[in-house]
Amino acid sequence: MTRSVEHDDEPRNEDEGGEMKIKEVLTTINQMQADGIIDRYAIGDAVGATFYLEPIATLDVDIFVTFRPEPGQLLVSPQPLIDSLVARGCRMEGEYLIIADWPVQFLPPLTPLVEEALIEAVSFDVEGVPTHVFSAEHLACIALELGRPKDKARLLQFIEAGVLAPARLEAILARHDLSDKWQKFEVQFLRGEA
Amino acid sequence: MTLQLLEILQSKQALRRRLAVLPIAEKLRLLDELRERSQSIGISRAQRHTAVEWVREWCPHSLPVVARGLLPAIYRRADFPHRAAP
Repeated sequence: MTRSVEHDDEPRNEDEGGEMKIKEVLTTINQMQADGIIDRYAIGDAVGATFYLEPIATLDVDIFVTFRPEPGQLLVSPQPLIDSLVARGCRMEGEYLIIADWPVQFLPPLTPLVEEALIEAVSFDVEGVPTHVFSAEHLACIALELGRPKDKARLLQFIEAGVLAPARLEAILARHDLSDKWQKFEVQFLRGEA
Repeated sequence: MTLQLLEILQSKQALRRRLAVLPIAEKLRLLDELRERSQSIGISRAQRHTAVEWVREWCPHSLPVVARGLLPAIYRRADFPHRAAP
C-alpha cells in the first residue's frame, strides 16, 4: 500500500529547511535492505505516528525489522546489521545505533500484532526516499496494546485527527483480541463522544 | 491572544491540524528540530540540577542561630505586638 499526504506535490525549495538528518537514517536503512542485511522494515512509535499526525517530539527512532537468517543457521542474529552500520561509520551507544546523530533502535516483531503491522506496512515517499511505516490503524492498536499513559495520549491523537479507518481498525482489534481493551478505553476516554 | 479556555483549546487544535497536513519531509525536518530542542533543554536542566546539588553540598546543615542579645530591642518587640506585659 502506498499513501501520499496532502500538499506533497507542492514544489519546494531544496534549501528551504536545510538537510534532514532523519532522511539520512532512512537512506541508510534502505541501503541495508538493498544489501540483504535486513529483510523487511517499518518505522513505528513517535516517528511513525508523525507520518499521520503533527510532529511528535522524540529522542529516538524505532525501526522494526525482520532479519534474514544466515545460510545454515536457524537462529537470526542482529550482528550483521551492527557490523554493517559500524562499517558505515555509525557507532553504538547502549542499545542504540547512532545514525546521523539519531539514536536508532532496531526491534524484532515480538507480538503477532507487530508482526502483522510489519507485513502490512505503508510505503511513503520522503523526497525521493522510499520509506516503510506502520499503518495508522496498526500504530493505534499497538498503542492500545502497550497501554502506557503516553500510548493512550497518542491513541487519542489518532482519533482526534480522524486518520483511522473504522472498518480496518475494528478488524485489527478483533484479530488480536483487543476489542475488550478498546471498549474500556472508549468508556474511560471517549464517553459522550460519537 | 485570549484568556478564554475554549478559544485557547480551539486554537491549539487548529495549530495541530495545520502541522498534521504539512508535507512529510517538512514534518520530519521539524522532528530534527524538536529533538535538538529537547536535548538542549535536557542539558540546561542537568546543569541546573548540578547547581542545586552543589548548594546542598556546600550548606548541608541549618544556618547558625543568632543570639537574641544581638538583635536591637525594637525588632524583638515587633514580633509580639499584643503581649500582655505593660
